[in-house]
Amino acid sequence: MQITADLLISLIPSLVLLAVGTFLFWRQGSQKDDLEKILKLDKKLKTKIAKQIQEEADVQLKNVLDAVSKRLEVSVNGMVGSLTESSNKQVVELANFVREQQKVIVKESQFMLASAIDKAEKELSDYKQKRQTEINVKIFEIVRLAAKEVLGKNINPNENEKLVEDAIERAKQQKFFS
Amino acid sequence: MNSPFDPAAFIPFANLINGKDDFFRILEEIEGTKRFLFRDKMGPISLKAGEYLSPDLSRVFGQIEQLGLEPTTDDKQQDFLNDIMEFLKTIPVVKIIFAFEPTASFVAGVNSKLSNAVGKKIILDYAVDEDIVGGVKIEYLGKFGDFSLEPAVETFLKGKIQELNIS
Repeated sequence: MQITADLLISLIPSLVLLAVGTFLFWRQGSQKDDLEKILKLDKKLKTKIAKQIQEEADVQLKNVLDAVSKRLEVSVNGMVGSLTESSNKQVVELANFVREQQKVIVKESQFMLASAIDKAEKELSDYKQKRQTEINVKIFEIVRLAAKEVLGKNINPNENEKLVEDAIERAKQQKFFS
Repeated sequence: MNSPFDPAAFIPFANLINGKDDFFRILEEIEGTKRFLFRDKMGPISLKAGEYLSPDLSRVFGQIEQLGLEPTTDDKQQDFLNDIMEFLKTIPVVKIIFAFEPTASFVAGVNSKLSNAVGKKIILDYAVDEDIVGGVKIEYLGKFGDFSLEPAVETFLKGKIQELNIS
């Protein structure tokens, strides 16, 4: 029995060590669990915070976008209104200009037509006059040649000499030689 | 024209000329007469060049000699002949166009009338154009005059054409 007691006594330090070791091991295990818990908690907190930040950011972004959108809408509406007004004004001006131009074109067309008619009449008149003159010249030339032929044949030498003397006298009277 | 000889001695030579052909013939004969000078022959030009001279030119030289207007030495006679030619070249020319071929006497008569009209001796440079109707066309000192019947005929015909209301 003694032996058993001694044995037990001798085992006490080992048991104590074992107990301490077990305790320590347990404690170490517990700390690991705590650490895991802390990490999980930390992750959870981070996730939550990130979510909150995201939500907050979304809200703020939405607010900003709403504000910008409103301003943009106001601005665009203003510009569209201005452009519409300007466009309408230009359309009216353009319509007036077109009407004026139509009047001018009509007047110019009438003037050009009148000028063209005048020109055509003048050309016709000139052509008629020219042709008439040509015909008269031809008639005159024919008659002149015929007259010369008849006169030439009917003037005898004596008459010719007399005509020369008369011609010289005429030249003298006209002071041709002075 | 400056000449030591009496101008009256040149006139008879000018009077030989009526037309341009006369002018060239007389000039040629006078130039040819100079060949008979300086041949140791004394006397007037008509004697020295007697055989060469045409009758009318011989007659004129005779007249000049009788009037005592011709020099007697060869040198002077040569100068005299040269001066005659120079004188003849100064005679004004009247160009005239006849409607017919004139006779020599008619040309002489016309020359006389024109010389009278101009106021001095003239040379007649004439041509014939049968297209002229009666009268003549005259050119003198750059002036041209139509003294034929043509202008009158044309005026008459133009009037008639207008009367017929053609123009």
